Amino acid sequence: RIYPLMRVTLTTSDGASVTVSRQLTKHSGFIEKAITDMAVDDNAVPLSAVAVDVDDATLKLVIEWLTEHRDDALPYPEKTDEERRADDIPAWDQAFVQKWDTKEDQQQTLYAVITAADKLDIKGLLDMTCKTLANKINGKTVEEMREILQLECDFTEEELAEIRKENAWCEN
Amino acid sequence: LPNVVLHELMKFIDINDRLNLRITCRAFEKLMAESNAGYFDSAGIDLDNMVLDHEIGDLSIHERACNEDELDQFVKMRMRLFDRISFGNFYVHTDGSRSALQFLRQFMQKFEMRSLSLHVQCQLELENALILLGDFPRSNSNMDLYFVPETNVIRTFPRMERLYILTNPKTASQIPIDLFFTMLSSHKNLYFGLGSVLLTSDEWKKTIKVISEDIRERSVMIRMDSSTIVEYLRAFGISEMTKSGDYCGEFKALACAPGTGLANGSVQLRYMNCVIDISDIAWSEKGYGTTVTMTNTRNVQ
Repeated sequence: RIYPLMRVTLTTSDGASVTVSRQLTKHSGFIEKAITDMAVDDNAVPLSAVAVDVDDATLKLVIEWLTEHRDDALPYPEKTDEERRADDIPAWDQAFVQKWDTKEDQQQTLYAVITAADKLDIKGLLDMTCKTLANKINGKTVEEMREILQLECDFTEEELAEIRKENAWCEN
Repeated sequence: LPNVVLHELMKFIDINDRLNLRITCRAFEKLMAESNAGYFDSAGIDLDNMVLDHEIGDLSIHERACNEDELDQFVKMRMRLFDRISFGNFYVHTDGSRSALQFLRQFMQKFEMRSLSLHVQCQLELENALILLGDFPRSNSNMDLYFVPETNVIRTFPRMERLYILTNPKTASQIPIDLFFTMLSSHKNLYFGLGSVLLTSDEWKKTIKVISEDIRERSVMIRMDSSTIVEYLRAFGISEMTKSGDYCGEFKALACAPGTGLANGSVQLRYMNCVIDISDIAWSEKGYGTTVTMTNTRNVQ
Protein backbone atom coordinates (compact mmCIF):
# COMPACT_ATOMS: atom_id res chain seq x y z
CA ARG A 1 0.00 0.00 0.00
CA ILE A 2 1.15 3.50 -0.86
CA TYR A 3 -0.18 6.41 1.18
CA PRO A 4 -0.11 9.31 -1.28
CA LEU A 5 -0.22 11.96 1.43
CA MET A 6 2.73 10.48 3.26
CA ARG A 7 5.84 12.59 2.77
CA VAL A 8 9.44 11.49 2.85
CA THR A 9 12.48 13.60 3.64
CA LEU A 10 15.55 12.85 1.58
CA THR A 11 18.98 14.02 2.64
CA THR A 12 21.43 14.55 -0.20
CA SER A 13 25.14 13.80 -0.41
CA ASP A 14 25.91 17.52 -0.07
CA GLY A 15 23.84 17.92 3.10
CA ALA A 16 20.57 19.35 1.75
CA SER A 17 17.11 18.08 2.73
CA VAL A 18 14.18 17.73 0.39
CA THR A 19 10.71 16.55 1.39
CA VAL A 20 8.66 14.81 -1.26
CA SER A 21 5.43 12.84 -1.55
CA ARG A 22 5.35 9.05 -1.54
CA GLN A 23 3.55 9.43 -4.86
CA LEU A 24 6.90 10.36 -6.30
CA THR A 25 9.19 8.12 -4.31
CA LYS A 26 7.17 4.99 -5.12
CA HIS A 27 8.97 5.04 -8.50
CA SER A 28 12.34 4.67 -6.75
CA GLY A 29 13.18 1.10 -5.80
CA PHE A 30 15.93 2.37 -3.49
CA ILE A 31 13.76 4.80 -1.50
CA GLU A 32 10.84 2.38 -1.31
CA LYS A 33 13.15 -0.30 0.06
CA ALA A 34 14.54 2.15 2.62
CA ILE A 35 11.00 3.00 3.75
CA THR A 36 10.04 -0.68 3.90
CA ASP A 37 13.14 -1.37 5.99
CA MET A 38 11.92 1.24 8.50
CA ALA A 39 8.86 -1.02 8.96
CA VAL A 40 6.49 1.93 9.31
CA ASP A 41 2.73 1.83 9.10
CA ASP A 42 0.38 4.55 7.92
CA ASN A 43 0.29 6.19 11.36
CA ALA A 44 4.03 6.55 11.60
CA VAL A 45 4.36 9.80 9.65
CA PRO A 46 6.57 11.73 9.41
CA LEU A 47 9.20 9.18 8.48
CA SER A 48 12.85 9.33 9.38
CA ALA A 49 14.92 10.92 6.65
CA VAL A 50 16.28 8.70 3.88
CA ALA A 51 19.88 9.41 2.89
CA VAL A 52 20.49 9.32 -0.86
CA ASP A 53 23.91 9.36 -2.50
CA VAL A 54 22.88 12.08 -4.95
CA ASP A 55 23.71 15.80 -4.79
CA ASP A 56 21.04 18.44 -4.29
CA ALA A 57 21.11 19.84 -7.84
CA THR A 58 20.76 16.39 -9.41
CA LEU A 59 18.05 15.34 -6.96
CA LYS A 60 16.02 18.43 -7.93
CA LEU A 61 16.15 17.28 -11.57
CA VAL A 62 15.18 13.77 -10.56
CA ILE A 63 12.22 15.12 -8.56
CA GLU A 64 11.16 17.29 -11.52
CA TRP A 65 11.12 14.17 -13.69
CA LEU A 66 9.31 12.13 -11.03
CA THR A 67 6.67 14.85 -10.66
CA GLU A 68 5.88 14.64 -14.38
CA HIS A 69 5.87 10.83 -14.23
CA ARG A 70 4.08 10.39 -10.88
CA ASP A 71 1.16 8.56 -12.53
CA ASP A 72 3.27 6.18 -14.62
CA ALA A 73 2.31 2.55 -14.20
CA LEU A 74 4.29 0.41 -11.77
CA PRO A 75 6.12 -1.88 -12.00
CA TYR A 76 8.01 -0.40 -14.94
CA PRO A 77 7.48 -2.72 -17.93
CA GLU A 78 10.49 -4.89 -18.75
CA LYS A 79 11.05 -4.96 -22.50
CA THR A 80 12.73 -8.29 -23.00
CA ASP A 81 10.69 -9.26 -26.05
CA GLU A 82 10.42 -5.94 -27.74
CA GLU A 83 12.77 -4.17 -30.05
CA ARG A 84 14.60 -1.62 -27.91
CA ARG A 85 14.27 1.69 -29.65
CA ALA A 86 16.00 4.89 -28.69
CA ASP A 87 13.74 7.11 -30.81
CA ASP A 88 10.59 6.82 -28.70
CA ILE A 89 11.41 9.31 -25.93
CA PRO A 90 8.23 11.20 -24.92
CA ALA A 91 8.07 14.88 -25.89
CA TRP A 92 8.14 16.15 -22.29
CA ASP A 93 11.25 14.08 -21.53
CA GLN A 94 12.96 15.36 -24.68
CA ALA A 95 12.26 18.94 -23.63
CA PHE A 96 13.43 18.14 -20.09
CA VAL A 97 16.78 16.88 -21.42
CA GLN A 98 17.15 19.67 -23.97
CA LYS A 99 16.92 22.15 -21.12
CA TRP A 100 20.30 20.92 -19.89
CA ASP A 101 21.77 21.46 -23.32
CA THR A 102 21.87 25.15 -22.63
CA LYS A 103 24.27 24.45 -19.79
CA GLU A 104 28.00 24.25 -20.32
CA ASP A 105 28.21 21.02 -18.40
CA GLN A 106 25.36 19.28 -20.23
CA GLN A 107 27.25 16.01 -20.45
CA GLN A 108 28.03 16.06 -16.74
CA THR A 109 24.37 16.75 -15.95
CA LEU A 110 23.24 13.85 -18.12
CA TYR A 111 25.79 11.55 -16.48
CA ALA A 112 24.77 12.75 -13.02
CA VAL A 113 21.09 12.04 -13.73
CA ILE A 114 21.87 8.62 -15.25
CA THR A 115 23.95 7.73 -12.20
CA ALA A 116 21.23 9.02 -9.86
CA ALA A 117 18.58 7.00 -11.72
CA ASP A 118 20.76 3.92 -11.26
CA LYS A 119 21.47 4.55 -7.57
CA LEU A 120 17.84 5.37 -6.76
CA ASP A 121 16.64 2.49 -8.96
CA ILE A 122 14.25 4.60 -11.07
CA LYS A 123 13.87 2.39 -14.12
CA GLY A 124 11.90 4.79 -16.31
CA LEU A 125 14.42 7.60 -15.82
CA LEU A 126 17.38 5.26 -16.37
CA ASP A 127 15.78 3.99 -19.56
CA MET A 128 15.11 7.48 -20.88
CA THR A 129 18.54 8.87 -20.05
CA CYS A 130 20.34 5.84 -21.54
CA LYS A 131 18.32 6.33 -24.73
CA THR A 132 19.28 10.00 -24.74
CA LEU A 133 22.96 9.14 -24.41
CA ALA A 134 22.66 6.42 -27.08
CA ASN A 135 21.05 8.97 -29.43
CA LYS A 136 24.03 11.23 -28.87
CA ILE A 137 26.41 8.37 -29.75
CA ASN A 138 24.63 6.64 -32.64
CA GLY A 139 25.76 7.85 -36.05
CA LYS A 140 28.84 9.66 -34.71
CA THR A 141 32.47 9.32 -35.76
CA VAL A 142 34.99 7.69 -33.44
CA GLU A 143 36.36 11.09 -32.40
CA GLU A 144 32.89 12.43 -31.65
CA MET A 145 32.09 9.32 -29.61
CA ARG A 146 35.27 9.81 -27.58
CA GLU A 147 34.29 13.41 -26.93
CA ILE A 148 30.74 12.54 -25.85
CA LEU A 149 31.86 9.69 -23.62
CA GLN A 150 34.94 11.59 -22.42
CA LEU A 151 37.28 8.78 -23.39
CA GLU A 152 40.96 8.78 -24.16
CA CYS A 153 42.21 6.45 -26.85
CA ASP A 154 44.56 3.93 -25.28
CA PHE A 155 45.15 1.82 -28.39
CA THR A 156 48.48 1.90 -30.17
CA GLU A 157 48.55 3.03 -33.80
CA GLU A 158 49.17 -0.58 -34.85
CA GLU A 159 46.18 -1.80 -32.85
CA LEU A 160 43.96 0.90 -34.34
CA ALA A 161 45.06 -0.06 -37.85
CA GLU A 162 44.27 -3.70 -37.11
CA ILE A 163 40.78 -2.89 -35.75
CA ARG A 164 40.02 -0.62 -38.70
CA LYS A 165 41.07 -3.43 -41.05
CA GLU A 166 38.69 -5.83 -39.26
CA ASN A 167 35.89 -3.28 -39.34
CA ALA A 168 36.36 -2.67 -43.06
CA TRP A 169 35.25 -6.22 -43.68
CA CYS A 170 31.80 -5.42 -42.30
CA GLU A 171 31.35 -2.28 -44.35
CA ASN A 172 29.14 -3.14 -47.28
CA LEU B 1 29.21 5.68 -15.51
CA PRO B 2 28.63 2.47 -13.54
CA ASN B 3 29.16 -0.75 -15.46
CA VAL B 4 25.52 -1.75 -15.09
CA VAL B 5 24.49 1.52 -16.76
CA LEU B 6 26.97 1.01 -19.59
CA HIS B 7 25.53 -2.44 -20.24
CA GLU B 8 22.04 -0.88 -20.28
CA LEU B 9 23.29 1.78 -22.69
CA MET B 10 24.71 -0.87 -25.02
CA LYS B 11 21.21 -2.22 -25.69
CA PHE B 12 20.42 1.02 -27.51
CA ILE B 13 23.60 1.21 -29.57
CA ASP B 14 23.05 0.28 -33.22
CA ILE B 15 25.14 -2.62 -34.50
CA ASN B 16 26.86 -0.46 -37.12
CA ASP B 17 27.80 2.15 -34.50
CA ARG B 18 29.47 -0.60 -32.47
CA LEU B 19 32.10 -0.74 -35.21
CA ASN B 20 33.13 2.81 -34.31
CA LEU B 21 32.55 2.48 -30.59
CA ARG B 22 34.99 -0.43 -30.32
CA ILE B 23 37.77 1.85 -31.61
CA THR B 24 37.24 4.49 -28.92
CA CYS B 25 39.23 2.75 -26.17
CA ARG B 26 40.08 -0.65 -24.69
CA ALA B 27 37.43 -0.42 -21.97
CA PHE B 28 34.65 0.08 -24.52
CA GLU B 29 35.98 -2.67 -26.74
CA LYS B 30 35.83 -5.04 -23.77
CA LEU B 31 32.41 -3.76 -22.72
CA MET B 32 31.01 -4.36 -26.17
CA ALA B 33 32.38 -7.88 -26.41
CA GLU B 34 30.46 -8.67 -23.19
CA SER B 35 27.30 -6.76 -24.10
CA ASN B 36 23.79 -7.74 -25.03
CA ALA B 37 22.84 -6.23 -28.39
CA GLY B 38 19.14 -6.35 -27.47
CA TYR B 39 16.15 -7.68 -29.35
CA PHE B 40 15.35 -7.55 -33.06
CA ASP B 41 12.05 -8.67 -34.55
CA SER B 42 13.63 -10.29 -37.56
CA ALA B 43 17.09 -10.97 -38.92
CA GLY B 44 18.83 -13.64 -40.93
CA ILE B 45 21.88 -15.10 -42.56
CA ASP B 46 22.40 -16.98 -45.81
CA LEU B 47 25.60 -18.79 -46.69
CA ASP B 48 25.46 -20.58 -50.00
CA ASN B 49 28.54 -21.72 -51.86
CA MET B 50 30.73 -19.35 -49.81
CA VAL B 51 28.60 -16.33 -50.71
CA LEU B 52 27.38 -14.54 -47.60
CA ASP B 53 24.21 -12.53 -47.13
CA HIS B 54 23.56 -11.25 -43.67
CA GLU B 55 21.27 -8.78 -41.98
CA ILE B 56 21.10 -8.03 -38.27
CA GLY B 57 19.62 -4.66 -37.37
CA ASP B 58 21.45 -2.03 -39.37
CA LEU B 59 24.45 -4.26 -40.12
CA SER B 60 24.07 -5.98 -43.46
CA ILE B 61 26.29 -7.72 -45.96
CA HIS B 62 24.98 -8.62 -49.39
CA GLU B 63 26.37 -11.29 -51.69
CA ARG B 64 29.90 -11.18 -50.34
CA ALA B 65 32.10 -13.98 -51.67
CA CYS B 66 34.26 -15.28 -48.79
CA ASN B 67 36.95 -17.83 -48.14
CA GLU B 68 37.15 -19.81 -44.89
CA ASP B 69 39.60 -17.38 -43.29
CA GLU B 70 37.24 -14.49 -43.96
CA LEU B 71 34.35 -16.40 -42.42
CA ASP B 72 36.50 -17.00 -39.32
CA GLN B 73 37.26 -13.31 -39.24
CA PHE B 74 33.56 -12.50 -39.49
CA VAL B 75 32.79 -14.75 -36.50
CA LYS B 76 35.51 -12.98 -34.49
CA MET B 77 34.11 -9.59 -35.51
CA ARG B 78 30.64 -10.60 -34.39
CA MET B 79 32.02 -11.68 -31.02
CA ARG B 80 33.75 -8.33 -30.62
CA LEU B 81 30.56 -6.39 -31.35
CA PHE B 82 28.27 -8.22 -28.93
CA ASP B 83 28.05 -11.33 -26.81
CA ARG B 84 24.31 -11.99 -26.71
CA ILE B 85 21.40 -11.01 -28.95
CA SER B 86 17.78 -12.08 -29.29
CA PHE B 87 15.29 -12.21 -32.14
CA GLY B 88 11.63 -12.75 -32.79
CA ASN B 89 12.45 -14.73 -35.89
CA PHE B 90 15.89 -15.65 -37.17
CA TYR B 91 16.05 -16.87 -40.74
CA VAL B 92 18.86 -19.17 -41.94
CA HIS B 93 19.74 -20.68 -45.25
CA THR B 94 22.84 -22.79 -45.46
CA ASP B 95 24.25 -24.93 -48.22
CA GLY B 96 25.10 -28.53 -47.40
CA SER B 97 28.79 -28.05 -46.66
CA ARG B 98 30.50 -28.84 -43.37
CA SER B 99 32.31 -25.48 -43.40
CA ALA B 100 29.02 -23.57 -43.75
CA LEU B 101 27.53 -25.49 -40.83
CA GLN B 102 30.62 -24.89 -38.70
CA PHE B 103 30.57 -21.16 -39.49
CA LEU B 104 26.86 -20.81 -38.67
CA ARG B 105 27.13 -22.74 -35.39
CA GLN B 106 29.96 -20.45 -34.27
CA PHE B 107 28.28 -17.29 -35.55
CA MET B 108 25.00 -18.09 -33.81
CA GLN B 109 26.52 -18.89 -30.41
CA LYS B 110 24.50 -17.29 -27.58
CA PHE B 111 21.76 -16.23 -30.00
CA GLU B 112 18.24 -16.52 -28.65
CA MET B 113 15.21 -16.55 -30.90
CA ARG B 114 11.52 -17.21 -30.57
CA SER B 115 11.49 -18.87 -34.00
CA LEU B 116 14.27 -20.30 -36.11
CA SER B 117 13.25 -20.49 -39.76
CA LEU B 118 15.18 -22.59 -42.24
CA HIS B 119 15.01 -22.63 -46.01
CA VAL B 120 16.06 -26.04 -47.32
CA GLN B 121 16.55 -27.06 -50.94
CA CYS B 122 18.22 -30.48 -50.87
CA GLN B 123 19.12 -33.45 -48.65
CA LEU B 124 22.58 -32.10 -47.67
CA GLU B 125 21.10 -28.74 -46.67
CA LEU B 126 18.48 -30.62 -44.67
CA GLU B 127 21.18 -32.45 -42.67
CA ASN B 128 22.75 -29.09 -41.72
CA ALA B 129 19.35 -27.56 -41.01
CA LEU B 130 18.39 -30.37 -38.61
CA ILE B 131 21.68 -29.93 -36.70
CA LEU B 132 21.00 -26.18 -36.39
CA LEU B 133 17.46 -26.83 -35.16
CA GLY B 134 18.96 -29.16 -32.55
CA ASP B 135 21.17 -26.30 -31.33
CA PHE B 136 18.10 -24.21 -30.46
CA PRO B 137 15.70 -26.60 -28.73
CA ARG B 138 13.85 -23.76 -26.97
CA SER B 139 12.98 -21.97 -30.21
CA ASN B 140 9.98 -22.70 -32.38
CA SER B 141 11.11 -24.46 -35.54
CA ASN B 142 9.95 -23.39 -38.99
CA MET B 143 11.09 -25.06 -42.19
CA ASP B 144 10.42 -24.37 -45.85
CA LEU B 145 11.35 -27.51 -47.77
CA TYR B 146 11.74 -27.26 -51.53
CA PHE B 147 11.84 -31.03 -52.05
CA VAL B 148 10.29 -34.11 -50.50
CA PRO B 149 12.89 -35.89 -48.35
CA GLU B 150 13.05 -39.64 -47.74
CA THR B 151 10.18 -40.76 -45.54
CA ASN B 152 12.51 -42.08 -42.81
CA VAL B 153 14.13 -38.62 -42.63
CA ILE B 154 10.77 -36.84 -42.34
CA ARG B 155 9.92 -39.13 -39.42
CA THR B 156 12.96 -37.79 -37.51
CA PHE B 157 11.90 -34.13 -37.75
CA PRO B 158 11.47 -32.34 -34.43
CA ARG B 159 8.04 -30.87 -33.73
CA MET B 160 7.68 -27.89 -36.06
CA GLU B 161 5.67 -24.74 -35.59
CA ARG B 162 5.52 -24.50 -39.38
CA LEU B 163 6.56 -27.07 -41.97
CA TYR B 164 5.95 -26.10 -45.59
CA ILE B 165 6.68 -28.53 -48.41
CA LEU B 166 6.89 -26.30 -51.44
CA THR B 167 7.48 -28.71 -54.26
CA ASN B 168 7.60 -28.63 -58.00
CA PRO B 169 4.63 -30.82 -59.02
CA LYS B 170 6.56 -32.31 -61.93
CA THR B 171 9.40 -33.63 -59.81
CA ALA B 172 7.84 -34.04 -56.38
CA SER B 173 7.79 -37.47 -54.88
CA GLN B 174 4.71 -38.32 -52.90
CA ILE B 175 4.37 -38.52 -49.13
CA PRO B 176 2.81 -41.86 -48.05
CA ILE B 177 -0.58 -41.42 -46.46
CA ASP B 178 0.42 -42.96 -43.10
CA LEU B 179 3.30 -40.47 -42.88
CA PHE B 180 0.91 -37.64 -43.77
CA PHE B 181 -1.24 -38.48 -40.74
CA THR B 182 1.84 -38.81 -38.53
CA MET B 183 2.94 -35.33 -39.65
CA LEU B 184 -0.56 -34.02 -38.95
CA SER B 185 -0.22 -35.13 -35.38
CA SER B 186 3.37 -33.87 -34.93
CA HIS B 187 3.48 -30.43 -36.53
CA LYS B 188 1.33 -27.38 -35.89
CA ASN B 189 1.09 -25.74 -39.31
CA LEU B 190 1.60 -27.77 -42.47
CA TYR B 191 1.61 -26.91 -46.16
CA PHE B 192 1.80 -29.51 -48.91
CA GLY B 193 2.62 -28.32 -52.41
CA LEU B 194 0.86 -29.67 -55.48
CA GLY B 195 1.51 -33.38 -55.91
CA SER B 196 3.37 -33.90 -52.61
CA VAL B 197 0.37 -35.57 -51.01
CA LEU B 198 -2.63 -37.13 -52.73
CA LEU B 199 -5.75 -37.82 -50.67
CA THR B 200 -8.80 -39.85 -51.56
CA SER B 201 -12.19 -38.46 -50.64
CA ASP B 202 -12.25 -40.62 -47.48
CA GLU B 203 -8.72 -39.58 -46.51
CA TRP B 204 -9.65 -35.94 -46.99
CA LYS B 205 -12.63 -36.37 -44.68
CA LYS B 206 -10.45 -38.24 -42.16
CA THR B 207 -8.00 -35.32 -42.26
CA ILE B 208 -10.83 -32.92 -41.43
CA LYS B 209 -11.98 -35.17 -38.55
CA VAL B 210 -8.47 -35.46 -37.13
CA ILE B 211 -8.03 -31.67 -37.18
CA SER B 212 -11.48 -31.12 -35.71
CA GLU B 213 -10.84 -33.53 -32.83
CA ASP B 214 -7.34 -32.29 -32.02
CA ILE B 215 -7.40 -30.05 -28.95
CA ARG B 216 -4.12 -28.44 -30.01
CA GLU B 217 -4.02 -25.67 -32.62
CA ARG B 218 -3.67 -27.26 -36.02
CA SER B 219 -3.69 -25.97 -39.57
CA VAL B 220 -3.05 -27.84 -42.83
CA MET B 221 -2.94 -26.39 -46.32
CA ILE B 222 -2.93 -28.70 -49.31
CA ARG B 223 -2.49 -27.54 -52.85
CA MET B 224 -4.53 -29.81 -55.15
CA ASP B 225 -6.27 -29.91 -58.51
CA SER B 226 -9.51 -27.99 -58.40
CA SER B 227 -11.28 -30.84 -60.23
CA THR B 228 -10.32 -33.27 -57.45
CA ILE B 229 -11.70 -31.16 -54.63
CA VAL B 230 -14.83 -30.38 -56.71
CA GLU B 231 -15.42 -34.13 -57.06
CA TYR B 232 -15.04 -34.63 -53.27
CA LEU B 233 -17.32 -31.69 -52.49
CA ARG B 234 -20.02 -32.90 -54.86
CA ALA B 235 -19.85 -36.34 -53.17
CA PHE B 236 -20.75 -34.56 -49.90
CA GLY B 237 -23.58 -32.64 -51.59
CA ILE B 238 -21.70 -29.34 -51.86
CA SER B 239 -21.80 -27.56 -55.22
CA GLU B 240 -21.77 -24.14 -56.84
CA MET B 241 -25.49 -23.95 -55.91
CA THR B 242 -24.73 -24.24 -52.17
CA LYS B 243 -25.47 -21.05 -50.27
CA SER B 244 -24.11 -19.63 -47.03
CA GLY B 245 -25.92 -21.19 -44.09
CA ASP B 246 -26.84 -24.41 -45.96
CA TYR B 247 -26.17 -27.74 -44.28
CA CYS B 248 -24.78 -30.53 -46.48
CA GLY B 249 -24.61 -33.62 -44.28
CA GLU B 250 -22.13 -32.85 -41.51
CA PHE B 251 -20.83 -29.76 -43.30
CA LYS B 252 -22.19 -26.27 -42.85
CA ALA B 253 -21.52 -23.71 -45.58
CA LEU B 254 -20.21 -20.56 -43.88
CA ALA B 255 -19.52 -18.51 -46.99
CA CYS B 256 -19.90 -19.34 -50.67
CA ALA B 257 -18.86 -17.29 -53.67
CA PRO B 258 -19.70 -19.25 -56.84
CA GLY B 259 -17.42 -17.16 -59.04
CA THR B 260 -18.38 -14.88 -61.86
CA GLY B 261 -17.04 -14.63 -65.38
CA LEU B 262 -13.33 -15.32 -65.33
CA ALA B 263 -13.09 -15.24 -61.55
CA ASN B 264 -13.15 -18.60 -59.79
CA GLY B 265 -15.23 -19.12 -56.70
CA SER B 266 -14.44 -19.81 -53.07
CA VAL B 267 -16.06 -21.85 -50.32
CA GLN B 268 -15.79 -21.79 -46.55
CA LEU B 269 -17.20 -24.76 -44.69
CA ARG B 270 -17.37 -25.94 -41.14
CA TYR B 271 -17.19 -29.54 -39.98
CA MET B 272 -17.43 -29.82 -36.19
CA ASN B 273 -14.43 -27.79 -34.95
CA CYS B 274 -12.67 -27.62 -38.29
CA VAL B 275 -13.04 -24.73 -40.71
CA ILE B 276 -12.27 -25.51 -44.35
CA ASP B 277 -11.35 -22.74 -46.76
CA ILE B 278 -11.17 -23.50 -50.46
CA SER B 279 -9.97 -20.60 -52.49
CA ASP B 280 -9.92 -20.17 -56.26
CA ILE B 281 -12.19 -23.12 -56.99
CA ALA B 282 -13.16 -23.81 -60.61
CA TRP B 283 -16.46 -25.77 -60.44
CA SER B 284 -16.61 -26.87 -64.04
CA GLU B 285 -13.15 -26.56 -65.55
CA LYS B 286 -10.05 -28.71 -65.21
CA GLY B 287 -6.43 -27.69 -64.96
CA TYR B 288 -6.73 -25.24 -62.08
CA GLY B 289 -4.83 -25.57 -58.84
CA THR B 290 -6.56 -24.65 -55.61
CA THR B 291 -5.51 -24.40 -51.97
CA VAL B 292 -7.57 -26.23 -49.37
CA THR B 293 -6.95 -24.94 -45.87
CA MET B 294 -8.20 -26.87 -42.86
CA THR B 295 -7.80 -25.31 -39.46
CA ASN B 296 -9.15 -25.64 -35.96
CA THR B 297 -7.54 -22.44 -34.76
CA ARG B 298 -10.04 -19.93 -36.01
CA ASN B 299 -12.94 -18.93 -33.85
CA VAL B 300 -15.75 -18.80 -36.41
CA GLN B 301 -19.23 -18.24 -35.02
